[in-house]
Amino acid sequence: MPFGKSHSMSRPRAARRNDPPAALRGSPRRAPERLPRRAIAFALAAWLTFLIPGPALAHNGLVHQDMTDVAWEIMLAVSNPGHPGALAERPSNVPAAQWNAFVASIQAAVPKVRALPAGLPGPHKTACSDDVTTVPTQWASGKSLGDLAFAPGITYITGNDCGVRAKWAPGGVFDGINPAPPAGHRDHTGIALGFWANSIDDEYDDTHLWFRPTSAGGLGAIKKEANDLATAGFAIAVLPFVCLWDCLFGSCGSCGSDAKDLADTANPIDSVEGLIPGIGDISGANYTGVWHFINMRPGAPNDYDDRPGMLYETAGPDGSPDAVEIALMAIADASGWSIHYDKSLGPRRYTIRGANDGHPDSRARDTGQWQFSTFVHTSFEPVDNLAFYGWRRFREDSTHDAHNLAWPLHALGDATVPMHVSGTSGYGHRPYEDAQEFRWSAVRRLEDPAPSNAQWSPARQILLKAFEWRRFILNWRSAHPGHSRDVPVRALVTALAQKSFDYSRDRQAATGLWPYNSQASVLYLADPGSARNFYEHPAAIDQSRFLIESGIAAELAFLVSAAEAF
Amino acid sequence: MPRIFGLVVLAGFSLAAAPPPPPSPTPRPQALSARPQALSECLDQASAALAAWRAQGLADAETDRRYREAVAACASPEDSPAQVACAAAVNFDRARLARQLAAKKISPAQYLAALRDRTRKMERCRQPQFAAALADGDDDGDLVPNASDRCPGTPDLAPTDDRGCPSRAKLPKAASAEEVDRALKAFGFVASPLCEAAPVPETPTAILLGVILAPPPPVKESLEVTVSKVANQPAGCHVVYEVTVRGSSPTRASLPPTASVQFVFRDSENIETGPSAQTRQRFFVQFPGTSPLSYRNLQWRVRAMNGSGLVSGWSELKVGLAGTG
Repeated sequence: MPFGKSHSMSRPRAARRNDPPAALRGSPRRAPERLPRRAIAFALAAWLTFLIPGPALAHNGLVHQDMTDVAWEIMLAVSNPGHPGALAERPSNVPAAQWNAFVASIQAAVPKVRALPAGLPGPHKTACSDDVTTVPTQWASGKSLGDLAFAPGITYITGNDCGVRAKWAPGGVFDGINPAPPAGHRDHTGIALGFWANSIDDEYDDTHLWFRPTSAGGLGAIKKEANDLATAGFAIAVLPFVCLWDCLFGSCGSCGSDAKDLADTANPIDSVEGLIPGIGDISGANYTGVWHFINMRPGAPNDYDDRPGMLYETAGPDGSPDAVEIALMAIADASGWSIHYDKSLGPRRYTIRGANDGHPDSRARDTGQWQFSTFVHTSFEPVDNLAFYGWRRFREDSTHDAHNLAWPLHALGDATVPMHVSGTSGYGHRPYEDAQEFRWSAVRRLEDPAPSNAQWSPARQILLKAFEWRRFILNWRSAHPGHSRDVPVRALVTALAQKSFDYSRDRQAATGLWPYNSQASVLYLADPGSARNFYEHPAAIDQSRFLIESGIAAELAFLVSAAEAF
Repeated sequence: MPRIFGLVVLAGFSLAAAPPPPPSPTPRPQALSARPQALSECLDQASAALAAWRAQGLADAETDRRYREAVAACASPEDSPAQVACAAAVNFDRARLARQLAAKKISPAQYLAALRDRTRKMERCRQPQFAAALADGDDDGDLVPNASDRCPGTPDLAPTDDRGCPSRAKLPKAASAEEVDRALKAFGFVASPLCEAAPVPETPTAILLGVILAPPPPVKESLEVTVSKVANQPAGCHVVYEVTVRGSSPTRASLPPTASVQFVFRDSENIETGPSAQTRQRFFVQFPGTSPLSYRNLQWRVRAMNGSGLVSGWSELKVGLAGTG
């Protein structure tokens, strides 16, 4: 008997079975904590727990947020007479007119971006989790970016407290450029834009999945047809799949065992019959990322766009999915996990037609092409299309709400990750991004012995790279009459992704292990710390800094150019 | 630190849901897919049709084929029955290949090669002429129509060229079988081989749903669930029990009028150890959210699934809640 849809009980939390109640303590009965750990592995429990993962699982949210903020802080520095002269000094190989125009465009952009509506709703609560800070109920809603009095944290909308980074400071030399009171009025424009940049990982409705039966519900016939295939376990084997997914995109360490508070993240499944293949609606933070790839590998199949996005069958820097991706494909095919076309916004949002930006239209697909196959055989639209979706909204929205800049900013951030630009969720994807976040202060050189000097140097490098990206945009405008104030976001994301891919390929050839490590993702499943070691050592951080700085530079050029569109 | 088992998913449901539509004696896939029918409705019809085919005593293989095609038609309402049948066959092959990989009957490289072959053929399914030709006959199941198959009798699931002859292409680069196995095992992707010959689990009985009233914090209000033990499974064949509880008539106006909660327990989570453990399974779960006592009327039921994915029917509804705290 099918269950219909009604309401869930309010704000569910994950069931906790670790502590038996007092009534059970001391009893001779077998206590739950004595159960073998292995049991978790194929407990349906684990499966369903992670059908509703939360945004707090976003593992590199701070990197997305801070990349955008660093771009903004450099813009502030260039507009601030207090910065060291060397920061914005004209390079000898750049004509003065070009450089001066670049600097002027930054200075012109700062007040315009500050004046954009921040697009933030009011806080969930006024009390912050630090038990010290409280925020006024009206601090965010209706405010412009430049008027924000607090720095929104990455869980500002999805969390369950005031949601601000109460002690946030831009860090290092930027603390002097953008000082806190009483020395100045701290500008939160960049960190708020960064909040939006990260928020795309919370676009749950981009992706809804369902189980499409591959046989008669596993009830008999398939066993007879395939009884020589050791079919046992597959219906249950679909269940830990969510653990697999979680390890790739979410919080692997807690998979199947965490007493994670799902109170604010629950996305109730429409039907409790979701256990049975063919039914179920699954969405959440772990599934949004399928739209966040662009595969720059030469020869990657591009049936639907000029560059493909994620297609697991051909994932990886050389088109060979790694072990975890093969495992993922097997489990998805065994269970029939497929895109639910009607419920997923992604196919409609990111299939881009009529952009008139020099990129070809996406090839349209009908329902069956999205739903026929399991998602591992579905070619997802690339992340440059995701960028364009937001950019078009920003352009066409008369208020120019800053929220719409989230998509291009997020896409630029993702285009700096070697795995995102080679269409793989394996090859060390997760440990790489973990390392970026865990070692972010090292990436930013905040740990250097002489931070001030050390940080002006990368800021200068970023500014020089931003000049090149700005020139890229201006050249595109020149080549596209009628687009004198437009920003070629798809071309920009694609070009950045190409640069990231080329750099990654070169480093791979030189090192053999960085950034693509076919062992790292498998290792991460059992020992995340060891897997992160591949990416956390100083040499690895140095190598990844090039990518991060390119991305920050592209974001800076994008913001400057976007400010000319309104 | 004790481990935490099980889960709770709060999900809306209605135990008084409308009965399934009367089964049609010979529903055809295309009849199940008319737009703008919702996917879930279409799947419900497919399930009803499945029951009807079974009741008719159709052979399992034929029943399975019809059901696959009915589901594929739901997924792709714009396509012809022939295209749908073609796509369903591809998906079925993919599912079987996954099983072969997990069972180590094929290597990851063979798996990838076969997958890519099926994906290529899925694209051919989009061509109405090809799909129609395939519907006319494909005796060796290589997804090349008999009419153009130069190599009848291709080994099961083997990649072929467009003429139906075994592919001579070099196997693609792929991770090793050991790496893939490690990945599968890391996620608990484990088979229950001892379930292979197991029958459909007998339907368990809902015996007792008890609430353990909240002791002092941090221990929260808890539930204890007792069901009859499924006894018709081979030793070592794992069984999980799915329990759904529905509350209605809330005690506070701020609560939804109905709410549901689902628990799933693995048999090894059983905490019953006395003599009655031979016949009963008892599970404990710390209640996560709104107390079940927030609802005046509670109904619950249970069903079982074994390690082969065979699912029992639902138990009779049990009404009420017993306090044990």
